[in-house]
Amino acid sequence: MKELVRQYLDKGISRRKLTTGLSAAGMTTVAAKAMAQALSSPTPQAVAAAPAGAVRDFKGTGGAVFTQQLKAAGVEYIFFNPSTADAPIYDSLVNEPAIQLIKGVQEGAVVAMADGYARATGKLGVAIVANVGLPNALTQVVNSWKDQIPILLAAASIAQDNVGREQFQEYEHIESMTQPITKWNWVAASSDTIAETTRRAIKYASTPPAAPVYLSIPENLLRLESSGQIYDHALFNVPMTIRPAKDDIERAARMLIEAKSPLMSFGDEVTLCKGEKEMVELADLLGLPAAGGTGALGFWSKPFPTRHPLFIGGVFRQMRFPENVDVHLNLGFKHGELAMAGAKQISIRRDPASLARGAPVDLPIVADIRLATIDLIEAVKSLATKERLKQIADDRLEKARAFTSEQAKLIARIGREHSDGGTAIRMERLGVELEQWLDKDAIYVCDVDSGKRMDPFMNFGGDDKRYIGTGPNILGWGMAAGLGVKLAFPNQQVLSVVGDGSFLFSGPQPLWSLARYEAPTTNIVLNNKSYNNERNRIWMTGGAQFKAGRDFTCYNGSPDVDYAAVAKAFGVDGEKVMEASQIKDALARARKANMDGKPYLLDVNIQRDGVGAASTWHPEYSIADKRARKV
Amino acid sequence: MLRSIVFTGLILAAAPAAAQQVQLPPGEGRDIIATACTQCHALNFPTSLREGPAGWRFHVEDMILRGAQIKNSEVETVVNYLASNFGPGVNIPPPATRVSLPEGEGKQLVEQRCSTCHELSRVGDARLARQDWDRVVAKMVSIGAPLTDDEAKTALTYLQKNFAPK
Repeated sequence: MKELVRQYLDKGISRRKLTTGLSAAGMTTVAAKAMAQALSSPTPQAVAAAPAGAVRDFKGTGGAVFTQQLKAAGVEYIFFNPSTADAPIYDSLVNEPAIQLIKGVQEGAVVAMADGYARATGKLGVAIVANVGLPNALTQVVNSWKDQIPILLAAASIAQDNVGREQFQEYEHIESMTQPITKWNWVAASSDTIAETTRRAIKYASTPPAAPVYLSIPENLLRLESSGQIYDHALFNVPMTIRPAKDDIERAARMLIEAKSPLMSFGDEVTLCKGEKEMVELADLLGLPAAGGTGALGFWSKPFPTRHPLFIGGVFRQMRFPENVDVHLNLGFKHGELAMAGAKQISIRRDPASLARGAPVDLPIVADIRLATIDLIEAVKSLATKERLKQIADDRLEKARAFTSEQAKLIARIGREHSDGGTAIRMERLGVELEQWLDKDAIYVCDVDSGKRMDPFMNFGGDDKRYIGTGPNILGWGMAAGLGVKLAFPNQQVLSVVGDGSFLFSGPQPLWSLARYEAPTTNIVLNNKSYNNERNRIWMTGGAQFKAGRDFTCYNGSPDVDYAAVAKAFGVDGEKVMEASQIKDALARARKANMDGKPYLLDVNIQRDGVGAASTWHPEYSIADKRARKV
Repeated sequence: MLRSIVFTGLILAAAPAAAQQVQLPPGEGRDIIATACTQCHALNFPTSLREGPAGWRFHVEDMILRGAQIKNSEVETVVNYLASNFGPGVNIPPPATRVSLPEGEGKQLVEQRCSTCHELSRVGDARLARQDWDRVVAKMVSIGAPLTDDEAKTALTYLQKNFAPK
């Protein structure tokens, strides 16, 4: 069936042949016609009725058709690394000031830059990579896929005549390797379909739940002079701002009002729907304790203010506070649906595919999170008097405040104990220092696992700093993503924090783009010379490495990489920070560099901690020693 | 770090089943651990380790910073429970192989004290520079190795002399 659709979209077969084929595949005639109609989006009638200029004819190379359709869709930046076959795309931009090219020097960094830009803005991130380097790009597409970030990943594939002939840089069906981590992948079949195929790629990537898509355009089609119709974005944009059913919302409102021990969990869909303010209003209205993240199954944004008295931390199957949850409202958190004993579960999700997927949900609602929250607030207000709601909220808030104020004291004590004296730099100390150093409207870009221990010492959400990370997926994202974030918000301070592990995953490639484009971000490498969390988790369960005290896998300190020197080699100034007393001055120098329009890198000597932290043992093995001849 | 993230995800998924296989000894703090810790990982994590109070305090605070619902007023109880029940010398399985350490002052200390938390093969197989032994011994004392200051110096000298890089 997919092949039929592909042939139809690429104009290889007629609509009649499509419906006949779909019927033969088992669809009813009505369903087949409906599907054919849906594939013709927008309808010919909609195009005919469009305002003057919203649909326009364009003639040029296939590459020019592609970029003109991107421009019409509002694309301002293309993140790329060059290849010979892509040349018609870049040729078409020589006299096109509306689109700025941002170059990366490895495909993974290119996608991470586009992803950071997309997360920060909510807009489509466009990445064009070398065809042969597509596997490099896919390492970072994993992050976009798991976190539902709209990315158009494109490549110029080899000329159609060469397919299957074992040609230079050819490997067959390259697009199929993108299948598990893209919503859609396609190879344009003719130059006349480039505009339409590009629109479809943009639509699939951007339509919630968003995701990466992969579009391949053969080199010969990019070079061909062709014609196509360019559509304004409004003609194929599907906003998916779905309002929930009124009855469902009233039922949810009633359950939350009458609950004895309610809980609200929240996730990234709140951020994606820009519903942060409404979520806090709902929590305040009902005194709902708010929880987000679950251990490693965290989330990439922090939409609820972390210093709000109702913010209680993570959500778990068995909450110790609040106890005996009887109504659990999950707002847009894909890991938030939990089988809590004795609790009725309401889950409002933008993504129907993952709603009610892993645990029973008593009231599943598919809707835009912001609109659903607005409706829920109105429904609550309509079901109880102001006085009653205030009484309910005050009672619940008092209990939550007793818990959260005690936890705040605990966090403050831990921070204080690790900040008084001592030369070693612990995560806790650095977190406390960063909270003092960062602007209130700063954007904190986080690509670390062990570094998440710093998070509780900083304030995020509400009118405080913004947090942009990735879910627990793949490293090597942070420095490049920081550039994309800074590009989106040049007037806000951007700090990108990576571990030494993350730096080594991405390699130094992001530094090249930071220097080339004078991206004034501060970049911190938390250098504990180890995959610290991994060693802890491996050794905690015993096993041969623990018993022998031999770290076969996680020690990174040999060779002892000087990341500040690496940065300098790329034209990014920086320094090593070896002791806690040096942090403040180093951060001040980073700020000065940023103010001067330059990126800066701090290689911070973080104390390795946990099980086996003291050991620097690692397997010694020398290839040089294997030689019989000194060559 | 990548693999560690994936690894944690697997632990989360497997936590309920694994948690049931480990019995915690009775004592004040047991119920807190049985609830708070098992929301994210199996109990074989804490029960496989041997640490003194400082070592356990690190792990407990680490988990709190990552979201574990342990209250300010419960921290001491939890640390004491773990240090008492999973501290140096508790339920260490017999060594898989007998390890013979070289003769010298400090040998007996190392044999008796280091083996309260781990097998002696960890010492016998190590080859570390002087400053690395400094760091290892200081770390072990900080997390609960039962050595006085003088004993730690003696053990350190013995280790530096006999287990230097070849």
